[in-house]
Amino acid sequence: MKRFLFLFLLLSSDIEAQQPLIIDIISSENFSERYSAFVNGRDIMDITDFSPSTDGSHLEIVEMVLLQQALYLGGETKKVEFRPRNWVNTTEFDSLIDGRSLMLARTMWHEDLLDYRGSLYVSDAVIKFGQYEAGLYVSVDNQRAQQLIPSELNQLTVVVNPRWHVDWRALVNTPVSVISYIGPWEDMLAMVETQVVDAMMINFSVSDHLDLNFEGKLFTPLKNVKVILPDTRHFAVSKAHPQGKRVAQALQRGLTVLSERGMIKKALQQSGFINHQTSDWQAINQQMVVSQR
Amino acid sequence: MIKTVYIFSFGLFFMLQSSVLIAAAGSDEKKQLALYFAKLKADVNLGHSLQTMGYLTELRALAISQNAKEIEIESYFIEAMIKRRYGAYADGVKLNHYALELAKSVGNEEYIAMAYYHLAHLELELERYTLALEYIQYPIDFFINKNAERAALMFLWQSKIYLTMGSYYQALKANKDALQIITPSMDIHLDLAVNLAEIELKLGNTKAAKAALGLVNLKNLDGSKERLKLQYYLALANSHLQTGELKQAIEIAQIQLKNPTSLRFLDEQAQLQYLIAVGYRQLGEHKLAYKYLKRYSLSYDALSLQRRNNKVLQLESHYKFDLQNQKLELLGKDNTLKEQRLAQQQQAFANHRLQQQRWVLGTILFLSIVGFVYWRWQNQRYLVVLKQRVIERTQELAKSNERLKAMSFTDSLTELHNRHYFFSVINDLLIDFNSSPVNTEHQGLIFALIDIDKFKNINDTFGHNVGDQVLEQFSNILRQQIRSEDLLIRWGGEEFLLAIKDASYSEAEQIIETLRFEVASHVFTLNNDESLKVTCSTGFASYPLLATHPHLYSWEQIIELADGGLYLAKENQRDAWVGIKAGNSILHQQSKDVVKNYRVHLVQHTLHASTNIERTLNY
Repeated sequence: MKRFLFLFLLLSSDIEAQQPLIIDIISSENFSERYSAFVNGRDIMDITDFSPSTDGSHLEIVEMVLLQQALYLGGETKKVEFRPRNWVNTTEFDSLIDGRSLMLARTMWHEDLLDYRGSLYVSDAVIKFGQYEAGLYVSVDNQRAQQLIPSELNQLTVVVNPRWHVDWRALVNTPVSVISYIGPWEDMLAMVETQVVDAMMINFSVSDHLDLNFEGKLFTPLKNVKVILPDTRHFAVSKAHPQGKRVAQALQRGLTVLSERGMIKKALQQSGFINHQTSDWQAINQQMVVSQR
Repeated sequence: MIKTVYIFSFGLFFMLQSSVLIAAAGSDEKKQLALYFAKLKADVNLGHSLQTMGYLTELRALAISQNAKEIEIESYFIEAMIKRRYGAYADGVKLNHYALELAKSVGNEEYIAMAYYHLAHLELELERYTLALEYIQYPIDFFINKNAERAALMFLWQSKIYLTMGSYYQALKANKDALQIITPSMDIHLDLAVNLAEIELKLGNTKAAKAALGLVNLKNLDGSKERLKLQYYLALANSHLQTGELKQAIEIAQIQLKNPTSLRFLDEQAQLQYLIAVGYRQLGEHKLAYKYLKRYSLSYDALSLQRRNNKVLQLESHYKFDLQNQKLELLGKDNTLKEQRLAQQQQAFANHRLQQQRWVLGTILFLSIVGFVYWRWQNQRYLVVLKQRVIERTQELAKSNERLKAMSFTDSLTELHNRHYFFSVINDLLIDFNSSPVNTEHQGLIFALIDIDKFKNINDTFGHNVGDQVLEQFSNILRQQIRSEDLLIRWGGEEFLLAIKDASYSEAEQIIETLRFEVASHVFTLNNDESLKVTCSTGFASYPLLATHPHLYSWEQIIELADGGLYLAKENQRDAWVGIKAGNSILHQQSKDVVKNYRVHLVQHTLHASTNIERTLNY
């Protein structure tokens, strides 16, 4: 009996070891295609160059790769399988709290995680305070907005979803006029395109000229102006999930290694998230950063 | 006298009495105001602000009547605070601005600073953060070196504004600024500790938050700090939530929600409800989580409504501001237009004036020219007239002179020429003799002196008037008898000189004889129809005396000779004539001698006398 039991445990552990880690990705965003194109059959651990292969924000792909590399480096050698799930938004943690999901392959704002730290393992910051910068994108046709000088920014209307707390806080601390809108991201872009509002805060595009092409519509950031998103971003792992603790620990270890190797910063820079083209642009809410202890 | 003193004393007494009464009334009012003010302070400290509304108006009226500006200002602050707390923001803003203006008018810097503090508080609730930050900076700057507790209060509110704006590090810094200047004995350190905990919780620094909360001794919180108490427990519950101590968090929150005071603070109430929902959610108590989420939702709706009202207020104020701006802009444009019009009018006026001035100047110039021309013309005319007059005058003068001359040459009685005339023409008469020698006797000039005989007797007998009449008539006889070319002169008195031109000696004799005869035969009629017979005697000589030596004897000497002849005629007869001429002998003596001694020369026949006297002349 003892023998059988041992065999069972051995088998079961082996079975468990063979089972992939199921990590959620948001189905609506559907990065699978772009992710596959980026990885292009390479071994995840071989990826050291994060230069973008497509236009558009690249952060999601970078995070998926970094997550896997961190897990591996942290000792979690299981294969990662991404499972598209219907997350309305990243601040809904129900499946994580319940343990139905292990984790989401995206970093989340720290302030959204605070109340759930009893149910979630929160990793060290992948994106540090002050690292996350975004541009104020206007329609290329909106000449008036593009010609505003810094002292005239109070004349600029910027649409923002008040549920995006960090975005909201960032903009409230700038001179611009904030217009709140709760609805699809595409609608907000349409508002900018039709000049219902002047601008929307968007991550800087990875294209050389920083312009953003969305379904044939061209948007351009206000030159020399950027906004700092005043928070840190972290991976969150379910405490209730059976693999949660182990994965969280591995992740933390791996992130430490990656951070020490400078890989995270390198990845963010190469991907264009920390954009060298805007490094000397004026952050219009700089005061939120400079006063930190 | 005594009566007057009484009246005066009574008046003085009355005046003293009334001033004492007035003073008493004044001091009563002062006491009342002081009482009210003390009660006001106490009520506010105990958190009974609403009750103060019952006597706030009366207190303010007292303050105004006693000119206690500070109390008046404080009354506005308190009323504004109450209005703000119960959502009447517009009134709150108005009252605070009123307090600010009043403080400015009395120049009370401290109250000005406090007014800005209250305004910052209001603007924070109205979510006008930039304005709130601007306002709070004023009292910070004012109190920083004057009053540490007040300065700390201002930093606390600056921190709260930053916290609400989501700028946590700035909030942290402001809170730290406050902590640095206070002492633990100050009440405000409780507020600062709770505020610090709230900030740290937002940043996820749960440990730091708990440490801050650990500094708060709840026993020190009095009635005025109900909200702070609630905030303390909310922060405590949150810190438990963040560390996963869910049950403790829920328990703390539920106790607070049962506390009736929490109902007054909707914001904290909603946060407590949300906290419980989140806690239950994580505990898997879905029903309870749903219940509290629903409650939270209701509270949140109410908050949203309140906020919406604020937004509406803001929009209204924006709208009013825009409207005012538009009006101002319009007014500005209108003013600009008016200014332009005014400028144009002024320009037009200036042009008009210039034009007028030009016209006036032109007119003046024209009139001056016309005047000048007229003046010149008049002048010229006047000159011409003057010249004319001068000419006329000159002519008149010439005539006058002529007349004068004529008069001076004429004897007024006989109207004959006088001696002066003779002297003026004698040279002209002699000119022919001076130019060439006279060869014949015919060419001589006879000078005859005719004298009325015994004229003195006539005057003496008949008077001078008759004498004059005789002279007149006598001269008329002579004038009638002589030729027109001969010259008859009244030589003086009753003596006449006749110059007979171009006459020979014998012709002269005849003429003179005719004269003598005419006179002697004439009957002189006098005034009273009397008649008189008058005779005359004549002496004459010819010039030149010697035809061969015409210049040897002057005409004066010739007249002297004629005068000699006259004497001879008078002496020998009267009513006679005697002519003297050169004898046959040649006159070699000096002419002066011949004339002087003509009687000798007559005797010696160097001179020869002719006469009508028939007897021999007696020399």
